[in-house]
Amino acid sequence: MFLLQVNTSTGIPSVMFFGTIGMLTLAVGLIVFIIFHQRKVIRYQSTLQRMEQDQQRMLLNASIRLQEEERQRLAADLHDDAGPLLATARLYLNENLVNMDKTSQLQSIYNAKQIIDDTIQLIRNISHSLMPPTLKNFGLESAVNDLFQKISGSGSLNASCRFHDYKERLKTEDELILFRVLQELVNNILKHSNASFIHVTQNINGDRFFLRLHHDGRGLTQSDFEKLNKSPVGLGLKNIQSRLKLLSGSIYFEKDVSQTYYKVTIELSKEEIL
Amino acid sequence: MVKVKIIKEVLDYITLLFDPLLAFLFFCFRNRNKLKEMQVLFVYFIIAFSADYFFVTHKSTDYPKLTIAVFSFFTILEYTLFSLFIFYILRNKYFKRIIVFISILFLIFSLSYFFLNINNPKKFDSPSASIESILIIIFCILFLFDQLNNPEIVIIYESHRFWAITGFLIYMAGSLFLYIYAADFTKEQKNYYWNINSFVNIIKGIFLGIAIIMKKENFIVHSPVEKSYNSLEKL
Repeated sequence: MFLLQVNTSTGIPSVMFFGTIGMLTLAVGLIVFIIFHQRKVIRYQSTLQRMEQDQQRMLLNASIRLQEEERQRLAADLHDDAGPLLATARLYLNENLVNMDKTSQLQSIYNAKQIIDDTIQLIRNISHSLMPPTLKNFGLESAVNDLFQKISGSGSLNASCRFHDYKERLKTEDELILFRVLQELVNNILKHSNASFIHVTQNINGDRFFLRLHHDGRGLTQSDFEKLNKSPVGLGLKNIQSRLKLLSGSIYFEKDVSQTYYKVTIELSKEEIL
Repeated sequence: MVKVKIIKEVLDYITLLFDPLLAFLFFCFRNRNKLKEMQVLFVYFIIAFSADYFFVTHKSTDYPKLTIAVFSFFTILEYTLFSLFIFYILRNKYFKRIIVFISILFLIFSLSYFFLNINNPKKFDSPSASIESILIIIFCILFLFDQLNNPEIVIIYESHRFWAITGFLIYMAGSLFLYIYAADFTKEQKNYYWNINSFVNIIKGIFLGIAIIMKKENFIVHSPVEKSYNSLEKL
């Protein structure tokens, strides 16, 4: 009632006047706020989109560069190793062979046979590096075991693995992707970390598939990984990222609580890979 | 005072003309206005025009009971149509339930108030109209909040719903204090202050006109991030 009695000199309630002005100001303010808020959201989303596109472009570039490097390596192996070997074998098997005496003929054929065997072995090695036969025939566990035996055999580092829940094999293409990711991680450890051991464990928890890699050398944390991933360097890491993206998986780099070793966790959805 | 009276009459006639004009616009752009909420607006224009026509052609002092009856029923119908419009455009089911529950309470209150005061009519149904304004303002805010939380909408002002709600919000915000005091106005005060109502009514009409003319297909715009994912999927 007090408000109703607050009148201006003309007998008109000033509360009504100021109230109306206030309400209109609030209404207009609210609308303006919402419009500006929306514009801010648009700007934020555009930035996010640009960042996402940059990231995708980087991953694509990394993948293309790796493909090119792999092709160059293959071309070099074939051109530098297989090419000369086959050329040498051809030399032994030239037209003059028929004019030679029997002993020389046998010697030439024997040499050519040796060279062809070497070439076969070389091509087999190239083929194995493209698709390890152990992986194809016996699965990821055997392939990782095989790889680690070779590494341990060198004597500089102890590599071991333990697959706890691997009764059922993954799809072949998914196994190959995971193997390549592990190979890349192990290569990085061998090249940069100066570790004395590598240990890989696998297990399934609910609907999540985990692969964990531990080593005691110099390693990466998640922030290092993200930094490298956003920079033009770190091709291998980008390759890991793009490969895992195919499996809708994630990777996490951390230093163990005890600060004595580094841990890399690869997490995948069971549904996605089984 | 003569000047004020002339302004009032001019604004009254503009307001009176606005509703049929909007109905005509609606008819011209009928293909763009097939959505349920737009049909509700069309009904509102017809009712608002009828009510305005009554107030312009009848002096309230001659028929006090009829005037308060028209005021009361117009308030109830206006509230029902506005809340129905907002009910149709809200996505959040919880907000929709709130609107239904509050509307039932409001209708009970308005009808009770009308029938209890029919033998002793005032010049204006202030309580019902004020509560109507407050509720519609709250519903408009609920709608805007609902829109802010809707990831499918990026540019809010590309939506006809936004313009209609802005019209309602300004109309109700501008009229609220007027409605609170309207029952106690003298004739001069009414002539003087009712211009505010006519003014916000015209603004509401302009915004509703924009809502009617707008193309409705543009309403849902995918977010830039979503667009980006879609384009990447096509690669």
